[in-house]
Amino acid sequence: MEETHEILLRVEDLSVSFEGKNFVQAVEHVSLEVRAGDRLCIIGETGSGKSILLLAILRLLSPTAKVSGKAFYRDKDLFALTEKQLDAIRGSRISYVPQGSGNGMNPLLKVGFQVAEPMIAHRGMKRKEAESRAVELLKSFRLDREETIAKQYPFTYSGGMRQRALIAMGISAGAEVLFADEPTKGLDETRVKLTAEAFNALEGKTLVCVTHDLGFARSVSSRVSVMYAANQVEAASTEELFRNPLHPYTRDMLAAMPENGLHFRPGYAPAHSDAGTAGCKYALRCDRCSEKCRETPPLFDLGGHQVRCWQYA
Amino acid sequence: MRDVILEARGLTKRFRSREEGKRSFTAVDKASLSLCAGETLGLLGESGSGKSTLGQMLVGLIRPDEGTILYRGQPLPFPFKGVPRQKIQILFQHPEVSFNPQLTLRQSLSEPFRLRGKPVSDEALAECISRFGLYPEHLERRPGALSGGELQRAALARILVMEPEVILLDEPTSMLDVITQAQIVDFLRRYREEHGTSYLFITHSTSLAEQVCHRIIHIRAGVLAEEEVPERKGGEANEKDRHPVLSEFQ
Repeated sequence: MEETHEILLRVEDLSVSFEGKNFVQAVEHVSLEVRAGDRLCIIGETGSGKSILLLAILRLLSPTAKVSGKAFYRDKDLFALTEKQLDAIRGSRISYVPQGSGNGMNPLLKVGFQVAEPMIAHRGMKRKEAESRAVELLKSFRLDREETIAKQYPFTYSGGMRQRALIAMGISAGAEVLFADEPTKGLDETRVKLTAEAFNALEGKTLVCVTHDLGFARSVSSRVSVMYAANQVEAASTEELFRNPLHPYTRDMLAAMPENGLHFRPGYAPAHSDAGTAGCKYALRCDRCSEKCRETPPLFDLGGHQVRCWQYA
Repeated sequence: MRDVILEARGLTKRFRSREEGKRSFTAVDKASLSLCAGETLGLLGESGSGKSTLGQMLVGLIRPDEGTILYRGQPLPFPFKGVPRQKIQILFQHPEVSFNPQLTLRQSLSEPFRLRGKPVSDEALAECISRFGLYPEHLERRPGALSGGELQRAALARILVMEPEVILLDEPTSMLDVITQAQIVDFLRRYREEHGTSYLFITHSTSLAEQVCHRIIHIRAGVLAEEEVPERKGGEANEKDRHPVLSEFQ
C-alpha cells in the first residue's frame, strides 16, 4: 500500500559540518524518503544531529554550516532553488514548527494574528478572513475560549498551549508537509497527550518530527528513523522498530525508558569533533563490538528495516 | 525513621495580579512535608500545579508568604544564609539557564571551588567532570557549544563540589534523552547511597517517579494530596522486565 504513495521528500547523502575553532560534524551521510501521508519521527539523543538535519533541508542554517548532498521536494532540488523560489515552498508547501514552545512565537504579536500570518503571506487572504480562519484552527486544537484566546499574547499561554498554537500556525497555510522540532520538550504527560492528539488529527498531512520522547514518537508516527552521533543508525516502521529493535543503540534506548526500568550501559556519545572519523560510532558503548566495527558499517536493508551495524551484514 | 533534614510547615505562596480588582492567585496552599536524610522524595504534579513553586520555597529561592521551613529542626528564615545555603543545592530543568552564557565551563566550575576555599587546578576540574563523561576540551567551551545532556551533567558536577546535603531536582531530566536520563538517575542513586544526600525530586512523569523515589507526594492546584510508597522504593531493584531487549541487561 505504502509504495503507491508519491515521494514528497527525498534526502540523499546529506552531511552538515561546522568549521571554525571547533570542527563539528553534525550530520553525516543521511538519506531519507518521505511519502505522502507518512508520519516519520526522527529520534535520538541531544546533539545527534536531528534538528540540524531538518534545518539543513529547509536551508535555514547559518552560512557557517557546510552542507553537502541533495534534498528534493517532489521534483524540486531544494539546494538549487533561488531564495525566492524556496520561499514559495517554505511555509506554503513545507512548514516548520520550531523547537521550544517558549521562543517559537513573536512575543509582540497576538497569537491569532500569528496563526493567520502564513495565510496572508502564502494564500493571499485578507487579514480579517485569515484571522477568523485562525480562530477556527485554534478551536480544532482544543484551545478553549478560542475567540478570546486568539486576541491574547503568547506570554499568557502555557507551554502546551503555545505548542498547539504553533502547530496550528504550521498548518494554517495548507502546507502538505509539516516539520516539527521537539514539539513535546518540557511538557508534562497531559500536554504531551494533547500534542499527540493534535498531530494525529492532522488528516492528509505528511509529518517529519524530531523528538527525543520515545513514547510520543510511538504514538504519532508510522515510521521511525534513529540517529546517533550524526549518523542514521536504524529506520523501520514504528511497530517493527518498537517490537524488534535491531541496532544496539535503539535497544539500549528502549531499555533506558523509565517503564522498562532505566537500564543503561556506561559511556557517552563521542565528541562532535570525532564524529567524522571512521568506524561504528556506537562501538565504544556496545557490548557486541568486534574488530569489524573499526570500519564504518553501511546501512543494511533487511526487508524494509534498515540498520547500520555489522551484526546484520 | 531517619532524621528529618528539611521540613516545611504550612508553606503558602500567593502571586498578586498586577491588574487592579483581580484577585491574587494561590500557587501553593499550606503545604507541609518533611524530607529525611538519604531519602528521595517525589513531588508529582502537572504543569502549573505548584510543585516548582513549593520546591523553590524549600530551597530558599523565593520567600513564602506564610509558613516555616526548618533545617535540621532549626527555623530557616528567608534569605538562607551560611551553612544551609551551601548545603542545599538545585539542579534546574533547563541546563542552559544554570550557566552564565559568557563564561567558559572552566570559569563556571571554578566558582564553587572558590566558595569552598578549595584550590582550583586543572586536575581538580578534570576530575570533577570526568565522572560525568566530560573531557578537558569541554572546559574551554561556553554553554552554547555544549549539548543539553552535556550541560546538565556539568551542572550536576558543579553542585556536587559544594558537597550538598539536600538537592532540589526540578525536572532534571525532562529535556534529556532516555539514556542520559537513566545515567543521571543512576549516578544520583549511587551518590545518595554513598553520601546520604537527600533529594526532593520534582517531576511530572509518573513512571520516572515510581522508579526513583522512596515516597511520592501528589500536588494538585497548589495543595498536597495523597502520598504513596512506590513498589521499587528508590530504584533499589531492577526486577521488572517488560521488553525483550532487557534480557541483555540481566
